[in-house]
Amino acid sequence: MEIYKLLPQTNCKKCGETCMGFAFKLLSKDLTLDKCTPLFEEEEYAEEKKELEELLKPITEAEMTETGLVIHEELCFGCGNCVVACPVNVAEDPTGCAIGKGASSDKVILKVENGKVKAANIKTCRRFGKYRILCNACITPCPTKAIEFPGG
Amino acid sequence: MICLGCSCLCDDLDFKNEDGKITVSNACLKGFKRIDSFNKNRLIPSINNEKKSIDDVINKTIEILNNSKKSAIFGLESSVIEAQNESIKLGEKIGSIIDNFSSVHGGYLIEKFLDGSVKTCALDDVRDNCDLSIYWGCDPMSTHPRLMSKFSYYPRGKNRQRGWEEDRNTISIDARKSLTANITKKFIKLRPGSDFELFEAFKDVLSGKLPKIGDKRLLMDVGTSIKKAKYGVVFAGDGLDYSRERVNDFIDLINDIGFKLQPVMDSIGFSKLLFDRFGFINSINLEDKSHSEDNSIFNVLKSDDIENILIVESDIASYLPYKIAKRLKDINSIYIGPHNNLTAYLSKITIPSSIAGVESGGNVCRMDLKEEKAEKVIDSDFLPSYDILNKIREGL
Ligand code: SF4
Ligand code: SF4
Ligand code: SF4
Ligand code: SF4
Repeated sequence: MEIYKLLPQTNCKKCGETCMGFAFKLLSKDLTLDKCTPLFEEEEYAEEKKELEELLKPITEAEMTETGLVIHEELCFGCGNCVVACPVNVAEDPTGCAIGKGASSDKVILKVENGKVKAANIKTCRRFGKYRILCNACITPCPTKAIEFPGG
Repeated sequence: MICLGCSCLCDDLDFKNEDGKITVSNACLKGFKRIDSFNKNRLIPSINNEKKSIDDVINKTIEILNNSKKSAIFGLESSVIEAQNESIKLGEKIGSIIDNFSSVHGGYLIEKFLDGSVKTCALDDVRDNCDLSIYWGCDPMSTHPRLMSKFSYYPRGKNRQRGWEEDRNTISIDARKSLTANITKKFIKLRPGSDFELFEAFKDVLSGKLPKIGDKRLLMDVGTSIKKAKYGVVFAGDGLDYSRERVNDFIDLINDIGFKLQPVMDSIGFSKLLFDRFGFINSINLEDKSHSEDNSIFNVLKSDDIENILIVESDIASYLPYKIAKRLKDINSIYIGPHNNLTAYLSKITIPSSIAGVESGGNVCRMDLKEEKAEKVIDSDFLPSYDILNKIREGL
């Protein structure tokens, strides 16, 4: 929403999308900001452009997955709280993650490697697909806020 | 593979080594860095900063020990049991003092934990049953990063199947909002050293009175949770150091509320070994098996009559006031350990050893006293510390 507010909101479709559609594609990293040419060409949007670049920084810098899951690697210290708390991990790995151990199944979403959390199988995330829900189970237990869904 | 990065001793690590490029799954960053340190910052054998052969430094150590009247052995709190036993044997042979990190932080709690003053628990039972964990003066997220994901908060347990949101309650009590306090359900902030006031406040709350200090609503709330808890554990750390004089009141409180105690510290294993053998956890004179505060590292380094000190796998200098630590430069100090650190830097003789649990194996003791067997996963030419200690003893 924040992203949308900063776009020109003219729905000129130069990016191939409506402004709203473009905002989502920015979040999912399907499109980059420069595709909105008016933003770069027209003086009046200069301020919005700057703000947008700031806002999108964490997304362009951190590892971003299709559900909008962003892992700030520099903040993660591999405690595994998110790994053990994620309901998909629990369901897919009842003898591993579910009981506090490291991942022992290939189907888990979150797993810790070389001291940092990595995401895989992202399509099974509860925030993804038709029946998506606003799951926060990996965000709340993170002591350093290393996991984020900037899209909300 | 087992991680020796802290006294959680996580046993579910996956280790791969492809041409020197290692991949470790499931270890936290602290554990991974320890394993990954096999080719970083390694100690070299030296005497007075001059590089020597490993035989030279061991022989020099033997010479020093042979010629000294008063020596001390310190450290080993994060070593394998084999090395701890060797250090006792060596200490008995030369009649030295033996001390460890518990004399600097937390020993007063570890003693209570070991001597039966309070109920204790196995971490696996904590995982299966615990419904209220209190973190008092400790920050496991910083010091023992997987404690809460493996045992005390997030995992499903046999009798805690519904997950952490519904099944487990957590409270952090600390002088600052630590990483642990960021994720516990409640946080009580207290001034350092005011733990005692809180013991009193809890006593009031639990006997149905209004607490005299602090956020009354919060304390009443916490009191209710404590009363309701079926399996409560107090995890305690060195934040209680300021209140060490009142440790008995702390233990009374834990007993009164029917909770169990688990210190979140790394020196528990070696303390236990010493306690079983000599009845004391630290600061022991092995000549007559007596205990005295004078034998603590702090007082030993302050005293004038110590001639040499052998420090094993413990960067104690980083924890002591520099004025005291600097004394290592004046006496015959010998440091045995895998890496360079401040203690090694201040020591006269340095003897490099292998990284336990990475380049050599051995038995280790978890914070709840469960023993685990660590294995070697990387080949190296470094000797394990127990071999070095053994060579020194044989050479005397
Ligand atoms: S190019 Fe920019 S202004 Fe035009 S529709 Fe796309 S986002 Fe909106
Ligand atoms: S949002 Fe939920 S399902 Fe998705 S990764 Fe996080 S915890 Fe798992
Ligand atoms: S909870 Fe946070 S710090 Fe811990 S592993 Fe997950 S992302 Fe990393
Ligand atoms: S919590 Fe401790 S034992 Fe477990 S992986 Fe981290 S450093 Fe190693």
